[in-house]
Amino acid sequence: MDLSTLSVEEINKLSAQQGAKALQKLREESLDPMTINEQLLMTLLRDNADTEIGRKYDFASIHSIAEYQKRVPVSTYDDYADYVYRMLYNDETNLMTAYDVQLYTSTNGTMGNPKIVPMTDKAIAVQNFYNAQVHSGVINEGVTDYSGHFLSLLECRFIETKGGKNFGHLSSIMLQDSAPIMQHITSTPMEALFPQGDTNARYLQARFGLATADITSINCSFLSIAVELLRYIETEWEMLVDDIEHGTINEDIRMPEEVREKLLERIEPMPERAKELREIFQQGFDEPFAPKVWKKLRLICGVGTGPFEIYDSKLKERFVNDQVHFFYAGISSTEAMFSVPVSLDSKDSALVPNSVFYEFLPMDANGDFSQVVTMDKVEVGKEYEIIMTSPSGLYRYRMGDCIRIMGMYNKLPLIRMQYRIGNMVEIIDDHTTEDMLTAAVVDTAKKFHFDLVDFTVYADRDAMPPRYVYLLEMGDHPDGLKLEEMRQYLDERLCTYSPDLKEYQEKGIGGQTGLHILQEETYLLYKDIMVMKGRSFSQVKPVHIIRNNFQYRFFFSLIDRAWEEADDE
Amino acid sequence: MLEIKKQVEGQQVQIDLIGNLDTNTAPDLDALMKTVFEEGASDIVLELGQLKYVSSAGLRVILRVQKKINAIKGRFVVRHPNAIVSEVFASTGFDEILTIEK
Repeated sequence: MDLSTLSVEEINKLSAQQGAKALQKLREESLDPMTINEQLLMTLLRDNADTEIGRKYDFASIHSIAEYQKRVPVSTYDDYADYVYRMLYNDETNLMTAYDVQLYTSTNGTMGNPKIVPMTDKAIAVQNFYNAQVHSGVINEGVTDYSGHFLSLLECRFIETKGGKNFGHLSSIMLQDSAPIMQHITSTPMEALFPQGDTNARYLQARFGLATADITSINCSFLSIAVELLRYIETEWEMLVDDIEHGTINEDIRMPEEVREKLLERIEPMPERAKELREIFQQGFDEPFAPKVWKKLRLICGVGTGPFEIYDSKLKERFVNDQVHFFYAGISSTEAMFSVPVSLDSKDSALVPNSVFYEFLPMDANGDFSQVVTMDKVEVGKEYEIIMTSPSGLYRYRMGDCIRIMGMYNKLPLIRMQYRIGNMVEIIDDHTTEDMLTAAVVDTAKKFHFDLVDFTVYADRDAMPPRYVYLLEMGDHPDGLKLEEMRQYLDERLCTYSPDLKEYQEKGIGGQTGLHILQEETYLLYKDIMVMKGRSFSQVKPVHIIRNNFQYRFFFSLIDRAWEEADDE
Repeated sequence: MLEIKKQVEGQQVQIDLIGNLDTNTAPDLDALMKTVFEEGASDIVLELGQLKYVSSAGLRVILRVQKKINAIKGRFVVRHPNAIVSEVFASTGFDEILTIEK
């Protein structure tokens, strides 16, 4: 179909129709998901029987889940590292998987060396279907205005390997696949979706987004990216509006000359839109500006759970009103996709029976794998670690994610991410999680009425007694704030969320929580440096927990000492 | 407070920073650097011998200069940072990004 002959509304309606069908398929699958999941496992075993792993465990002779569990041990990344190396550097095939590897993805390595895993065509097809089409189906059940564009904050950056395979983020290949449609329905120019050289994609997203009055949704990988874009607009609106008025691109904005020339050929002066925007921004930013700038804005899509909850709150507090719905992406990782949301504004998501074969290790089983259960045996309210078998060649692979079963969607479990296992931010044995640390600092920002830009916590196990130390950056804040008063409140809130910490403090073996204020623009600087080192802007995650020496030195060297000096006076 | 002095010697532009490069003063350096680039400079020396302090906002301006220089394949040298500024450069990873002459 020639999409260029269709209007935005017609394309969006087509997408909604496809989405409705996909959602209906998921609904049907939810009636008997265990059968589908078992069939998936048997297909994977049959198709991969002649791989090196398949021969090692004799996949060909496995005909039941019980046999599979008995024959194949639970695995971790170390079990696959050598296979991945041979695939990447020796171009060997049929090791972990018989399917075509389309992409190699990498974890960000915040907990150690980055892990590189293959992503096969079969896995990508499933992700495309559920991530794009089911998402579209769910969204269109709640947001039915098809007439507008969407503002995309995604970026696609690839590195080619020597074998001609793509190396990068899965979102990049999905973005590449959807480019023919995207160029008709997003305000973001292709030059920002696929940035070359030092192109300032954020400027282009903001400038072209503001110029487009009919934006109905904002799509991003993580909600932190949407917050950053809206903050950027707050700061740079005069320059952006000037450029919209005159049909220009500010000369200080970095991009290769050929990219600038191509863009300038396409843009026209928009004095009326600029006038409208200027009037809105001149009113100030006490009220959310996004719904005024984009009157049709009804939706923001992106990961807003776990460490991104804080940005979800920020968007709702500062930038949008209650006409705007949220579509929180389900749980996906570098290795596979696990769940999709089945309703707007819900942070729970349903397992996808066609994506991976799921097993669940109860968190209270203390690593006893004989207690592993399949999806039909999980209990609502209980926490589990996911163990999965994927179409990308991972078999009974420990994900290291703790999830909670929140309820059921027909017979499909609804899950919510809790925390990374072994990633608990403990100073002693206090079971404090990132969520608890986040909740405490969000409460503190509310109590003292300051704009929390972001925060980072260092678990100081060398202190006597060990303690948590927060470092946070503020945007606007009222005069007269006292660091010690905020610290005390923060400590009180953290102890409320983490009762074990409170107990340890009372016994004198856990220390009082520390607090430092960071200099303005510290988090933007961190991101700038990561981008300078080759990371994609849209993939740089917030550093809520200090994991390495670089992060420790970076954040502790940028403390605004004036706060401590003021408290000393 | 930040005093900024600009000297042009042949093809080279030297910028002297005297005082504190912080949230309040970083926009001044940013504005000056824009002019410098508009004038076509591609060989820039940032003299920090008299810079007492640099904050995150100041570091971002310096990073932007380095990015611009990378894009135009020019030369950017940062000279004589004091011990405090050197420590900040080391802690933030700037010593791997910038060319620093002590």
